[in-house]
Amino acid sequence: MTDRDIKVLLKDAYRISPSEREKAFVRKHEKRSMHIADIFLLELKYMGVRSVLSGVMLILMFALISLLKNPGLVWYLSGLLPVAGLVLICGLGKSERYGMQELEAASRFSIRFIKAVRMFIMGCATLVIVIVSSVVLQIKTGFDFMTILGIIGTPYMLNAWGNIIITRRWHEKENIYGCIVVAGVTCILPALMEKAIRLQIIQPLVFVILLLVVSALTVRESLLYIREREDSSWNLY
Amino acid sequence: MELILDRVTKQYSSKIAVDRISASLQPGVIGLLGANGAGKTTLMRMICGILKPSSGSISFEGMDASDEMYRDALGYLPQDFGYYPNFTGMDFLMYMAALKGIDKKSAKNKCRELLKTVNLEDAANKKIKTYSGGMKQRLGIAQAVLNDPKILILDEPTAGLDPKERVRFRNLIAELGKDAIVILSTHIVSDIEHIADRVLMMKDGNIIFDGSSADIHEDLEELYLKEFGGMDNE
Repeated sequence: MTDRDIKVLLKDAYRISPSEREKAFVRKHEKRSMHIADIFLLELKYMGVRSVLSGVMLILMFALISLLKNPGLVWYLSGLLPVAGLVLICGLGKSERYGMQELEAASRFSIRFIKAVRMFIMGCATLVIVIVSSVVLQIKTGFDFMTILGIIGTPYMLNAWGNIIITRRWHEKENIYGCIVVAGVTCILPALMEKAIRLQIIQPLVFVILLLVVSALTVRESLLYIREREDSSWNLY
Repeated sequence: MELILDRVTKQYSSKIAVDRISASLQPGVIGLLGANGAGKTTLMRMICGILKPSSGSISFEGMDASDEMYRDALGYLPQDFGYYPNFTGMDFLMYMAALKGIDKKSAKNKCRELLKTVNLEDAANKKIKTYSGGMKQRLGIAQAVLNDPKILILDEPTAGLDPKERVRFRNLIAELGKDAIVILSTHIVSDIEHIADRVLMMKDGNIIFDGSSADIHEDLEELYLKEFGGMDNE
């Protein structure tokens, strides 16, 4: 028997076989399965009554404002959108606010996944509002689509970016006050934007570029938020 | 069935909350005793996989504490927990059941059964905000055992329970300890002295005693007071 054969035999003899107990344990639990869709439905089902009511109220306000025959329509809606963002961010941080994060983190579907689902629902809801508003405004005001998107999207996205930064770095439930301040500031931003465009200090295209930059920052911040949920927040305890 | 803690350490900047703890835990009730700041809650959070150890590892049946399947075998009652204000007791349990991956039909039956066990059957459809402290604690205990956990972590579970409920709860824990690893953290010696198969005593992040009540030649309470006499208890 050569050295090489001995080495092969020794390697086989000391190879760690997959744990039978682990396999048996996993088999036993295989019967429990839940799809991602179930978590979506679950989150939608348990969305707070106040969040749903606030959302419906906002949509109604949008509808009423859209009926106005007013050249300032685009600015009113631009100022109202950050409020919609605030309502949705309230839903995102509800685990921390109500002290459920420890229970949710220890359950099979981790808090990181739950947060991702909430952010997805939040993103879809606001996307619908932004697109519908843009189409309505394009018809009513005659502005081109990109200008409208820049005007109504920039305050909203700035609000979303600021709120996610606050929620990510300030873990106490009082972070909602910080979010309200950011929403308040971004609500009055359209008034300044309107003045800047009217006096030709800034071109509308600048807001489109700003929207793209802030959107990229918001995506980055959202990814950091999801990644850090399970580790950093607890490790700061 | 074995839960292995291998040199588990947790360090927060300059403070070591848990210092190289190693233990092999088998089914039964394990009482974790220690004063405020001893590192009990940090250790429990690490066993639950919600806090990452600075070094060392925690595994159960070959699975790391961060695995989804590990969490599937876990039941946890934190020291303080909240609830969504619009939830009834039944909603809360159904929500937790869904997060634990239990299908709707089995969850409904299991929730009803557990609400009966913890004596909350009549309050099942009442909002949790109307519950007393003891009722909330019993609801917390119910959610912890929803998935028939193989590892059950209970952090100060008897806080807020009246003496009658305490006895009832102790019997429930003893029953669960027959086929699961139940780790019960407390500073109330009487909660564990009659039901714990093994007692771990923690001080300054270390285990200073590991044995059964029978191994102690004196009263468990006396040993506890001797170790922590000069400190304020939780």
